[in-house]
Amino acid sequence: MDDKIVLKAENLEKTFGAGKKAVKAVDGVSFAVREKEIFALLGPNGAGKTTTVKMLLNLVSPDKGSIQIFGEDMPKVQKEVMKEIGTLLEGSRNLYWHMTVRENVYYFANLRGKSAREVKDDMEMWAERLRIQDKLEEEVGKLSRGMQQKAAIICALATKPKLLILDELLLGLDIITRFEVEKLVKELKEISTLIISSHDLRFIEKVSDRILIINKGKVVAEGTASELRHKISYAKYRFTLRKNEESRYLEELKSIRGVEISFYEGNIDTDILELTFEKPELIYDVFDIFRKFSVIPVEIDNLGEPFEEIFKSFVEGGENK
Amino acid sequence: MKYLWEAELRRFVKFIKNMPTANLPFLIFLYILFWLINFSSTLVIGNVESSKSLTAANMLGYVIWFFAMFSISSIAQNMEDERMQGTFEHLHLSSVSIKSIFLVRALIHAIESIVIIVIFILIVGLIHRVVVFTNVYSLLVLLILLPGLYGFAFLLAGLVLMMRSKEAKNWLAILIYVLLVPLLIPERILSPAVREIFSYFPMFQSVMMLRKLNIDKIPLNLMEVDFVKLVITSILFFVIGLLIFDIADKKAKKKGILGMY
Ligand SMILES: Nc1ncnc2c1ncn2[C@@H]1O[C@H](COP(=O)(O)OP(=O)(O)OP(=O)(O)O)[C@@H](O)[C@H]1O
Ligand SMILES: [Mg+2]
Repeated sequence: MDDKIVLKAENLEKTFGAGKKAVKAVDGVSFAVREKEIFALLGPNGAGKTTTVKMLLNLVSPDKGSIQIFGEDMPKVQKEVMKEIGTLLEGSRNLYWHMTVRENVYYFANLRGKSAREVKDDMEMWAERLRIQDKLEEEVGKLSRGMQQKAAIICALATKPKLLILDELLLGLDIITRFEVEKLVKELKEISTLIISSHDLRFIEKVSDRILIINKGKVVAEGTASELRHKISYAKYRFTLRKNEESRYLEELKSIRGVEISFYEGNIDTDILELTFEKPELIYDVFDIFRKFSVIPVEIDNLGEPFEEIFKSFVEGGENK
Repeated sequence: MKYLWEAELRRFVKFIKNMPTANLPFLIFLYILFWLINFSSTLVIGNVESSKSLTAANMLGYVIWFFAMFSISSIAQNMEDERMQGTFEHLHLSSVSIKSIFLVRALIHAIESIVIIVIFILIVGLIHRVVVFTNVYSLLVLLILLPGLYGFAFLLAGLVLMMRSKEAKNWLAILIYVLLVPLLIPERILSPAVREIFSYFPMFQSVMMLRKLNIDKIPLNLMEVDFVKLVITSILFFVIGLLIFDIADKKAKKKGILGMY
């Protein structure tokens, strides 16, 4: 059951407009989402995340490609499938402003074939979890932006969906709420499959099982956060070295292929050196030179590669292709 | 479909609760507008003798005009509002079709419009001492008109959905007002040819029939041709309206303009 595919998108393409003004928003995007996983769409502004999400939901019809949800072809069976899907759309009003949170939850549940009674308990539970249980009887238009987002999340969750599609779910949320949502998302994985999109790299890195990086409508990378780290095998170390009269070791370091000195600072009693490696194994060659010149490291720091950098390198790499 | 009525009824109750007094100024507005129309038509026709039946005739046109405006507002206008706000996209994420949602909404709002119009007819009846509806078959005519009205509203909704520019939408709104004005004019000032053309539009046809029924006191069974025409054109408008709306909805999905917030 672990590898059951919940949603499969193949070769999606979408161009908006025609002629000179044409924008290819999505260009050959394929992916498959497995049951009970958190699948993230990641990409800079205008990458095509929202367009992809809207195609999954048949709000935008693709020019090419196919979509299957729960093994059924979309959009043929959309009405049936929608009963099992919870959604949050980016930037739109997800709810009616002149109705209360409770009224909204009931209304949209009804439209998905669920009665008010069926969703009442779940709504109250999630409201408590997100700490807006005292706002259930308030009109959505009078709530703050973050509260509205929470209300929309509750609306998406109340129907016990098997699949959640949440575009920009952190929109308008403060830091504390972000942590709450982070925890919530991880818990939701136990009961549902999630497709999320966000600009927040740290959030995506923390919660996602798999990440699809899109840029300019194209998939530039796919994998778990650590797989993505491995694909970019750059490594970066900072060495603090005991001062050595001999400075020829620097010349020799420079001659190693795949190693670059990205920073050097000579102090009175130490040299500080930052080296970037194309392959992590190259560190052995560096130690060989240290031994040859009797250079003694007093401190070594793995500077790693922050996820931001990985993301950037994929996006830029994709652009250079 | 199971909970669609429940959903829309709850929404409607909320809507009414939000504006319990809004209908009073609306009634006054309706009356002033009616008075103006009635007054100017008296000037045009200038026959004091039959002023009562003229008022009744005007009133019948006014009732249909009112229903037409109401159904356009509850379908086309409502849809465009929600599209601008973003909830229109969410309605597409339902397990019922977008058409049934708006149709159910329109039917529920029809109840509201009937209440308003009944009160209004009573008021006008009292003030002008005219009985507007004298033939119960008028109800049948109104009922048969309903699909045609909704078809017309869906057709407009479809046109608006395909439009992007605000100017185009404004022009369309003006065009509709102009197109509906003949409802308010006594048809006898129109030439027979124009009358013939109008009779293919359920709104105009129903007004002409209502006037014959209630003012000229012609029984319905003497209006077979008119009646059949109304039934056919009303159903035709309904089908065409839904068809155009469907096409427009698909087009909007292609262009990605279901939501324009
Ligand atoms: N309805 C539309 N008509 C024309 N162009 C559109 C439409 N919707 C999206 N686009 C264009 O398609 C491209 C992709 O947009 P999309 O909203 O999918 O990006 P995104 O990855 O969600 O960006 P963001 O992070 O800003 O939300 C953009 O260039 C956008 O301008
Ligand atoms: Mg987006």
